[in-house]
Amino acid sequence: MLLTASCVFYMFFIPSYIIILLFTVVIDYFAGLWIENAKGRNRKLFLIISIIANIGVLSVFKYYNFFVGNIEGLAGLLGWHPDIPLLNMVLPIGLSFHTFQAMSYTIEVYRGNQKPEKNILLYALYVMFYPQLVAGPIERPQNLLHQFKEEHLFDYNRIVGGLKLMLWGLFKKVVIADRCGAYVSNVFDYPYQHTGETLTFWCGLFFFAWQLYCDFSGYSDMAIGAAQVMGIKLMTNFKRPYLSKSIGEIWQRWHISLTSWFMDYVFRPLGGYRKGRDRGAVNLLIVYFLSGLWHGAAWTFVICFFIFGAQLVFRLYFKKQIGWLFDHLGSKRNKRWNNILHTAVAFIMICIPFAFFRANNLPDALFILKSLFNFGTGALNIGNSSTFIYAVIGVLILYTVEIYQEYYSKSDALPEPKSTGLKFVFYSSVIIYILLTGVFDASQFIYFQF
Amino acid sequence: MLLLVLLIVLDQSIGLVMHKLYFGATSGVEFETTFAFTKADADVIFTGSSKARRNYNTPLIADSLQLSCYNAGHDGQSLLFSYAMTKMLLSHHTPKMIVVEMFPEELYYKEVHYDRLNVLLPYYADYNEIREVADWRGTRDVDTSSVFYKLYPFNIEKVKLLSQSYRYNSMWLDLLKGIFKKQKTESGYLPLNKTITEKEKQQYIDEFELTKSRERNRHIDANKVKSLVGIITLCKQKNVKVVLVMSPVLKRYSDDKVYQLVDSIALSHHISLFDFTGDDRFKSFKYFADNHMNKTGSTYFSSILAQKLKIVIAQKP
Repeated sequence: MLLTASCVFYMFFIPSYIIILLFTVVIDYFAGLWIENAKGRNRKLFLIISIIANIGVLSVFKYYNFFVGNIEGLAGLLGWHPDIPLLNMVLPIGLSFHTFQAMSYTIEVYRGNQKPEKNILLYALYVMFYPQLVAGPIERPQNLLHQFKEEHLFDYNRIVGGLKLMLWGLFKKVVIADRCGAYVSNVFDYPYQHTGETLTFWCGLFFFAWQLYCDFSGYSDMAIGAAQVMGIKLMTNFKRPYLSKSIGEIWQRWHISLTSWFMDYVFRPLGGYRKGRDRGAVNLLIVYFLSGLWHGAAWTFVICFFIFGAQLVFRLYFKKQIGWLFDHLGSKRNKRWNNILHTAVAFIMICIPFAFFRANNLPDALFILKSLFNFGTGALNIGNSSTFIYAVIGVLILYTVEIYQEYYSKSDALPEPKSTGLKFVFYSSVIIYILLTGVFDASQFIYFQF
Repeated sequence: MLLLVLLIVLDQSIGLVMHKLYFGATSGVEFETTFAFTKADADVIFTGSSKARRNYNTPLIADSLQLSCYNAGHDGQSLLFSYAMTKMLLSHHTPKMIVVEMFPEELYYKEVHYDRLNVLLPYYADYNEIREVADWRGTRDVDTSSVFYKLYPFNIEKVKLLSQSYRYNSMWLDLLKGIFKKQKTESGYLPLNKTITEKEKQQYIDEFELTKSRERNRHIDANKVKSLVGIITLCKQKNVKVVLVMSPVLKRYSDDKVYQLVDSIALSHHISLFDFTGDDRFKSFKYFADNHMNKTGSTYFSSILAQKLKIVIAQKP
């Protein structure tokens, strides 16, 4: 039943693309079985076959045109102009997500942490479970597969909890992310019209950071909430990253399922920090380079994530000096001020590389980056004032809720009244606010494209 | 159950308050849309996007034609809105002429043109005339005769419209602002006073080209063609003269396909089409505030247009 629903869900986008998905499902299913039964080198061979199949699909559909473009560019520098045909097709939705989830299955079977699934339909459901099929969280077989075999009884509190999470996710998506997105488009799609408007670029960058977070974590909340309603517990994907006090902490709280995937399957196998600081730094840069490529077949993504990696490497080498700087900037008595200072600096540091993430091309990104530090006029263009105010109100609500969760309730529960009657009024009001202020247009989730 | 009851009560109550605020507005975009939809009684009506609103100096044209004129242009809209506007207008008034401002590029499919049809939603319950166009928000330019649509004829917009609050989506701030800040127009004409530089003109052109190049699935929107033909047909049925005008632009952008299509529609329906998009008289950046003309440019353009409209008015039906 769930598998059928997942297939129908996937086929809403481009029906024929389900063949690609089924191709990897079949390969990984058999690879899992063969790895279990094989001995010695053959185990590794079957794992490699599975990884090549998955990476192969990803390379063809996501990276082929990127590679061709770069090869043609390089060849052009040498005076050679090959005319390599390009693939003219839309990227299968959520390809990077389900490919990585499928790879985690065969890797875990190879490592002996997971028994191979005998039932192909159950394995297919593991890859295609529709709440997280197109934008994660990227699950691990140990966490998800066994849950499909368990009986899920009706549990009122669990279902209500799931629905609340879905509502909060929807709020983040349509009230905050899409509203911020309108301002962001105005700045990033037409950067040259804002020449000299330093504050406009900073504002656009901050709004993009909130847009990206609310768009993606909003989807994750909806996916986790929908799964919870059905009795399936998916892993947490975001833990209020913008309240982190350092960039390192942000990455422990941002897109946790992908970060931990790279840590488990790339960073640690490469040696992590075990082989010294220099090797650890190189490993970090490799992981963030790959993470950039995972996000998109464009140099803007690669550069963006390489800068994130470089920031972490810088922190690795200059931790003492950074600590000394904060000690002098902060107050020894006022802990709250120190927290705000650390949080604000971490947020700004993470925002700057986002210029590459959002810009339409490299020249635009460089222009925006230059404009951020061009303190000439400092002008702020708020564009449509209503859009701006709706977005600001949305961001204020976001911070109010997250500060409450982080420092007061110390849980993911929403700040709701205690009395049942008032709870109903509260949630009805949230729904009405979404209907009055949400953006209900055709805007897609940003991470669907990955 | 209690949540559902509360939700319905809250939704209806908020919807009622928003209805009062919306239809009680005495200035601003909401007021002007309602005025154009239900009360406009001028001899000549201009409809279209912000280009109509900024480029057509209504008082000057009225003086020149010796006829009353009203500019019902609406920022951010397209032919889809003009079609709804024509339907609403002709249901209560028969003007002598309707001038449809159309930017050739707008015939291409653009999501945003459907998104912005939310301005029609406050009228959805009481005015059947706009329902066809408002429903397109849900179906977009899907071919409703296709097999896919027959298998899945679900229009999510109709579900959303069950909510009273949703009809006023993204409007509460503007309505509140309207109470405190009154915007005055000259019979709907809202001129822009600034002037761009030659460099800025080139930037606008470059960015437009870039945006165009980024558009995926670029195709002519069947609903917009239907709207254009619909406007002409409705006007003909009511013996209202209809004129298509493409006002001056920074650069003549579109490919010939669009021009040929508009030409053939105008020709087959025997209506006048005035194309100023390639007119050298408006080449100078001094006539533009951004992508729109400034007051100097719109005044110059309107004086020339008025002469052409005079001839059309004088022609026998």
